[in-house]
Amino acid sequence: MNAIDTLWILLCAFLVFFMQAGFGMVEAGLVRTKNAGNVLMKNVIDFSFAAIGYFIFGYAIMYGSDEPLVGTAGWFMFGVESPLEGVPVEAFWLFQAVFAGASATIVAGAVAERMKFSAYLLYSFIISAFIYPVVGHWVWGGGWLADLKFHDFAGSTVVHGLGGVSALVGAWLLKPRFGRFTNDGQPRAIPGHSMPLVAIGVFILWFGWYGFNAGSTLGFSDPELVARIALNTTLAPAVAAFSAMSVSWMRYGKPDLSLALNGVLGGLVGITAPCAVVNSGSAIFIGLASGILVVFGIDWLNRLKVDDVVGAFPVHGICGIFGTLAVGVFGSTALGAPLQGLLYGGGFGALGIQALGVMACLGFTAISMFVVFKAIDAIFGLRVSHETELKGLDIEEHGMESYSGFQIFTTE
Amino acid sequence: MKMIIAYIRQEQLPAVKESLSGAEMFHFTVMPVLGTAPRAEQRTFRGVEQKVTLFKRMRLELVVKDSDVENAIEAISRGAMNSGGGGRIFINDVIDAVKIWTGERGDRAI
Repeated sequence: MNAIDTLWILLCAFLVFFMQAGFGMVEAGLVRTKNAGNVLMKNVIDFSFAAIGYFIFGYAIMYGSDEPLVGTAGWFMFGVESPLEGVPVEAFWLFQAVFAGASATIVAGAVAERMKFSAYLLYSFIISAFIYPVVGHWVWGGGWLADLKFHDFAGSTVVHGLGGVSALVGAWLLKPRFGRFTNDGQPRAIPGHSMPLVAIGVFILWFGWYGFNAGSTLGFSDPELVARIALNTTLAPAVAAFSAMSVSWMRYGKPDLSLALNGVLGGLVGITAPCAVVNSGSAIFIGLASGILVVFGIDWLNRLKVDDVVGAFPVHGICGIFGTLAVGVFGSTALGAPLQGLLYGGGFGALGIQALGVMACLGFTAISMFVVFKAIDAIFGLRVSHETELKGLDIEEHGMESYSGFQIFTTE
Repeated sequence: MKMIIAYIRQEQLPAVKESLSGAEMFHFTVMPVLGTAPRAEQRTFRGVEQKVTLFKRMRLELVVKDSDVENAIEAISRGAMNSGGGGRIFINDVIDAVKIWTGERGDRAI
């Protein structure tokens, strides 16, 4: 057994697990007090279901065998062998399971304050047991995109693009929260109740992301690679925070904290696919562009009248797509990219493969999630009643208040 | 006896408290409230315009002897003026008062 590699993978798995807390805090902070407990409940249960679903079905579909479309062996982890020499399969499973959880939990924030809890339960099991593992198999489990040399190092598309697109489909099908748009279609602000929670959540996510990206080396045999990834995972979000803040300052008159924090996350998502195969100059550019894309993405959803409460699609979807495409531009074979990027004279080949991979993965995600959400709508209904929405999902769906004993002011 | 009710802004509270203490009026109650203003304020949250029409205010209540009314008004006004001005003071008649601990009534119960 290789103790160092195993230690590294487990340590990083624990860090990625902690990202669940980060998502929870961001989402709780960006909703109103009356819905904070509900969105946290969704964050707890989607990890619970991710662990169960990924154990029973997910791992087998993703890594069970290397057919082009889906794996077909290893249900309940029965008879599986570790794909990594010297690393127990349990460690590898845990590292993959926390990724499945991250992907599932992205959606909770976009559909917050109006999606029925029972509907969310069913959704979260399906995405982590079936949808995420299929895409994961194509890219990381020896599927057809892996054969084409599509490169998504830690999951800009596989984890974040998939979560972001699912969030968009969910938010679009659910329709906006009551009062989010006026009758003539103008957007109205529904401010989140705690910016400090959002900020601590973003810092937790950034911290966890070191495990997400640097752990995706799946070993510590190349310390230079791990260090480069850690540097890139610092530079991109740092620059993205600055660019998102600057754009918000120029467009809206004041530097907006919540947009700067979304910018951090956009930068992290953007650097996730290319973090291993680009130099630090490219990481800075990727961060710069990601921060700008986040702010314009949020603006764009407002125009489309899609109510994505926390900006899940701009952050995870748009920056996920951008980061994956960036591999085809900034990726260098000298640093380990499978194909030379555009910037290094590799032509459009790598970019084409990246674009194909994005379209295939996210196209599959969009169609399958549309079917899943529609089916859940037919069985349970997706959305809570108007009355429940007004009273708050905490009291109506869970029979409790998040801030019992506090006097809550409403300034609406 | 009169009840004096003052509406001031949050940032005026420290100065008003101090001027009331300076006038030896130590018994009062403060509560946070929301009130309207002549004009709505435009803010943005995540790039979306937000029209704010209710603002955080402080409501201050105290009951004083008839002979102290002018002192109280003067103290509140001085504190408010020293911290950016503005606000409203309203005065009500109070029929009676009871100090539960001793059963004293009227002015002695204040």
